[in-house]
Amino acid sequence: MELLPLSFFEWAETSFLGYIGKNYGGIYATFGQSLHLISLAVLGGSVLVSDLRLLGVLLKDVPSEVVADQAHKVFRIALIFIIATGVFMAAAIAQKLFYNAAFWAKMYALIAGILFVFLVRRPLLKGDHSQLNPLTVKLVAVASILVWISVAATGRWIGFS
Amino acid sequence: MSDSKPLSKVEKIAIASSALIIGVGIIYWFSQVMNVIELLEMAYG
Repeated sequence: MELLPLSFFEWAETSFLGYIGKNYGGIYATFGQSLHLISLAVLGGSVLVSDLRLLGVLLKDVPSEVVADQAHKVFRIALIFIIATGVFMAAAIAQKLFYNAAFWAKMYALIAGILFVFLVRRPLLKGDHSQLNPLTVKLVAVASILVWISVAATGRWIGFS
Repeated sequence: MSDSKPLSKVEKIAIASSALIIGVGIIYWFSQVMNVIELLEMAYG
């Protein structure tokens, strides 16, 4: 199920961003793909460090509150870059993406991930973790890893479908 | 971490949304793997 009409994607491809992305391969590769993948790697790193700490796998000698706070700052910056570069890349091939099931799967996963982080995960973890049920914290960490792996996997899948 | 306290509202919401994400994720990726297996069986028997 599409979130936006085809007319929006037709407009996006004829927009300034679409024109630049379609006609200037160097700019598309540098400011689009490269920054997008680097941002995704940074975001994935921040998610893994934070969630694996919550699961008790790594950085056990550092309080989980500290790891979660620091990782969230990095996460927010990476997310801004991911969205900005993603919009730029999508504009260049907007009409093709409209008919791509993997693209819509990524959009759903991305929306779910963003809502989960800012409405559930962050409010839960911004306080004292010792006051939280450990199973709740671990469940949130597993869900967080799953949703962001889904974003990354469906994102790469776009290129192969 | 203490597990003897009653769950707060935020924790209940976190559990419900996490369970939803995990459930949907498992169903989605399982169906994708099954589609690939079906395709491979059609191609190679």
